[in-house]
Amino acid sequence: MKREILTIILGLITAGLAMAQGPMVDRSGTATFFSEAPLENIEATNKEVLGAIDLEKGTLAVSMLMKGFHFDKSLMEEHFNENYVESDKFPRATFKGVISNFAALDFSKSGSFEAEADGEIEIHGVKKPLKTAVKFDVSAKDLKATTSFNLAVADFDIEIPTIVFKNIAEVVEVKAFFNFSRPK
Amino acid sequence: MMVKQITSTLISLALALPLLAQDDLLAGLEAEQADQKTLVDATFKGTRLINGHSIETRKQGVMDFIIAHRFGTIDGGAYELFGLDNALVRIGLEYALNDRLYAGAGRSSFEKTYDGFVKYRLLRQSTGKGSVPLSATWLSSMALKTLKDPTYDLQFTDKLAFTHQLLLARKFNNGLSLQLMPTWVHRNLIGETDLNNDILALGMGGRIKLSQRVALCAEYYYQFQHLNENTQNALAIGVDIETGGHVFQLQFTNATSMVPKGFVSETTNDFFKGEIHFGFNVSRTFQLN
Repeated sequence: MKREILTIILGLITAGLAMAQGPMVDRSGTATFFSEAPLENIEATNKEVLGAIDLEKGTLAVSMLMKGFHFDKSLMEEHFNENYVESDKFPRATFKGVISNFAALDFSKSGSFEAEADGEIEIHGVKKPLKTAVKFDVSAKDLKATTSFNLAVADFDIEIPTIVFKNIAEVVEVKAFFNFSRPK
Repeated sequence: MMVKQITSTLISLALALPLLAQDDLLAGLEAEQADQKTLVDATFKGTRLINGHSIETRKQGVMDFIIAHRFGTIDGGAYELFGLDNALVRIGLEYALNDRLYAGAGRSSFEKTYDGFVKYRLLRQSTGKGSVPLSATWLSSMALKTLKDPTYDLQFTDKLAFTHQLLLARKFNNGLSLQLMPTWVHRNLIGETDLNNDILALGMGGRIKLSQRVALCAEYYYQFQHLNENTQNALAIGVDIETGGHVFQLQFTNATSMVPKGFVSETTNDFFKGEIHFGFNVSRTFQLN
């Protein structure tokens, strides 16, 4: 029994070492979007966003389930999934890209700096190039990443019918936050 | 022993491997999400299919205010403006105690009926790991007819009727949802020409989405026993239109009553002779907390 536990611990350490060379993953990243329109402001938060960063290659990836977005009004949530982003057909939104100024950055030292992420965002089955500033906060135990950008709803083939035009903004503000803990 | 150790080491390694092996970061993340269980929502737009209930309930803390109208039958012709001279109304208020339990009450002008119901979601259709292929909702409804009858001295309990339904539905895809409704109606007291206190019926219905906000619905209740010789099976055809916090349902139906025991077992109009009521349900939703 003891031996088995030992091997499992050994296995986990090996796994930990393996992870140290691989990407860092945050399974509880946060993404929010905010729509400001004449009739009502709409805000939704997703706290189950998966984010990964590879500090060897300078690559980034984000994947989130659309049904993970929660709204103040449950009916808005239903309409968001059913009428706008069609979550059954397109369950997730993703981003895949690189840190374009990666060579000039030092992730081994503690401190804050800005980087530029350059890649492709996919929402509602539509892929669009996206360049956005990412603020990194580096410390000995973790790596935090924050970004914010605007998206035009129409770019992603999401139609807003005229009847609710005053309820939904044409451009929504998106924010995302990740906290990657360093493998021990 | 040795074999076991090797296996457990291998398992631990295997657990660590997927992300490593992924050259593509994104593919690794998506693979993690692939199996996640998610509930299928919006099988129907509203809590009513047309006359009867759909499997849908509202989410916790939501109050729904429903006004329903049934006009006179359209075979009255232009003289009665195809029934519009003659309107019956039901006003109802409903509340979701949680995501599964939903209750409401209403009052209909037809036979001055008060009704109350409780609805509980037994099963919710889902996808992913441990998925459930269909939704099931239980409905129990009670109706109290308060229209005065000078010929009989009726007790309170004599005026009561109950309906119990098991609603089974599946959303096949974004455009098509179907529902089956085994139904049992019981009335405490029946009239002289009536045959059965208990009536079993099987309802069936569904919706086809015409666009993101407009859906075509149909509903039919087949009765295995009839209350008396005059009753017909209730048929309804309707259109759902959704605009933000409202759902408008326009319908054509041979049923006059808007409470379950009424439209299931007391419908006397013949749909195919043009004895059809035009009507609508308007639901306004409020998020209370």
